[in-house]
Amino acid sequence: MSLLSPILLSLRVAVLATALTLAIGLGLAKLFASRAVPFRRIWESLILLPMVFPPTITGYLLLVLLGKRSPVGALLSQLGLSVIFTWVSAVIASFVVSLPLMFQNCKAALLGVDRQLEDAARTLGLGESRVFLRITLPLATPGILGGTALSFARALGEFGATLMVAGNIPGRTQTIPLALYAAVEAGHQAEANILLAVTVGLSFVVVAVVSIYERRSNGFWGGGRAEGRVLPRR
Amino acid sequence: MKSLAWVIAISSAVACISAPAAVGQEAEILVSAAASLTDVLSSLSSQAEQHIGAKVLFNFGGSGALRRQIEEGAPVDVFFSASPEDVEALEAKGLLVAGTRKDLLSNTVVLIGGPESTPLYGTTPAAATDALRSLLSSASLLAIGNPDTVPAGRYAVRVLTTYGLFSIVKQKLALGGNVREVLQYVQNGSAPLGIVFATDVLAASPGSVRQLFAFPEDSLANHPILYPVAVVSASKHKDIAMKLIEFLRGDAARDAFRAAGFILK
Repeated sequence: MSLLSPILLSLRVAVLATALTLAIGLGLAKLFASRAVPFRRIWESLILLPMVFPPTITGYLLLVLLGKRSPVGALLSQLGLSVIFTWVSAVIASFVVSLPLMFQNCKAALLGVDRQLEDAARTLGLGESRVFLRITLPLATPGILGGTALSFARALGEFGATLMVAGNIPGRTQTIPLALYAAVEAGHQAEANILLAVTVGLSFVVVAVVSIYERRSNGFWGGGRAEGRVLPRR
Repeated sequence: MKSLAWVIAISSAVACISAPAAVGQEAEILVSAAASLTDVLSSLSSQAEQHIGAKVLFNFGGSGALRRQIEEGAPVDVFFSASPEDVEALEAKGLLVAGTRKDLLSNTVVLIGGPESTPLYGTTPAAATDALRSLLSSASLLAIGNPDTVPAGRYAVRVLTTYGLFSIVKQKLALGGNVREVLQYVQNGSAPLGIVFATDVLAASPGSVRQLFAFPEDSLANHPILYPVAVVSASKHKDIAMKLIEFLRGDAARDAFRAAGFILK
């Protein structure tokens, strides 16, 4: 069994899923943080549901949703796009389970930004989109980055939903957690240990990136560069 | 913001570089197979590919989950299940090609213990029952698969019931989430005794567990252990799928199955 294929596949799936969660999670967080959305609580509960569900249930629901008998699946297969049992469905599964983490972190980060600073920028003539890009977003970046790291970690470790909707096809859809499970099941100690080491290594990289960034933006590492800070520390 | 952008840029680059090569034109046969067949089928895959002239991919999992995937239209060509019930459920819905089902393999339910334990020697069925009774009475725990979800656990409950021993162990069962977990409990000494399949004992590292007793087939109370294989109706390559089932019934495959501890039907 080749160990390279699950590692590359896991990286690809986790990176694409995280990029997708960042774009959509941040977008949704912005929407919910700045506007009175009708039925807000219902929408938020729906986004958060995958955190409460056992992943197998999330996977089962995705399987039903994307399966050929559902309207969505039927439409996809009409277009010649069958996603079940492809790595794309692994990305979808990881996206769905990590979205709650991203959404919650981004929302908290956006709500934590001082309104007065945004208003000050507006009085100085900055348009809404520029206020968001140049004031709100930089100030919220540490929280957003934390959400991104959590989402990446969650996507990298995704097991239950992936197993259901992408299958466990060695060389095709078998990600690190699935390969690790298979190796432990089959008593292949050496393979299991290598995959475990890779997982630990990747986790360290994620944590290191986040903590380096946090130290930098707090200004006591990297020569006091106060990135993401518009006012001097009081 | 800059470093966040960098992280994303570098990661996306990695993702693109590692993107899969375009899939060739060669036909592919996807086999959804029970997790207990992982090792033996993986070892047969290149021979199978030569025999049928197509690429063979496996999707390993619990038979129940594999069945759900086929019900929802997963692009599977062949279903190789460890549970006749799941195959029959699909047959009833017309999701398997009629007449293609073959009950290829069987297995043996065995009682296992740690490496230092001694096998039971009963010359008559009655003597074997007595020996089993005293062993199970004195044991602190018996590990079996969860009978609600694990086929090996269901078979364990059946043989114990047939032997009239289930009431003895009812209060001291350690339920594993799958049969390999049961094996692990006994291997690492968490449970002194366990009930698994003969094939699991062969797959365990040598000397880590010992088979103490093999339950005879008639103790399964008309629910024989079977591994049926059949062609899925939605398959786009039914003729190649049939060829694969022929290969699985051929000599090379039979040797591999026998070496892994399966009983050939």
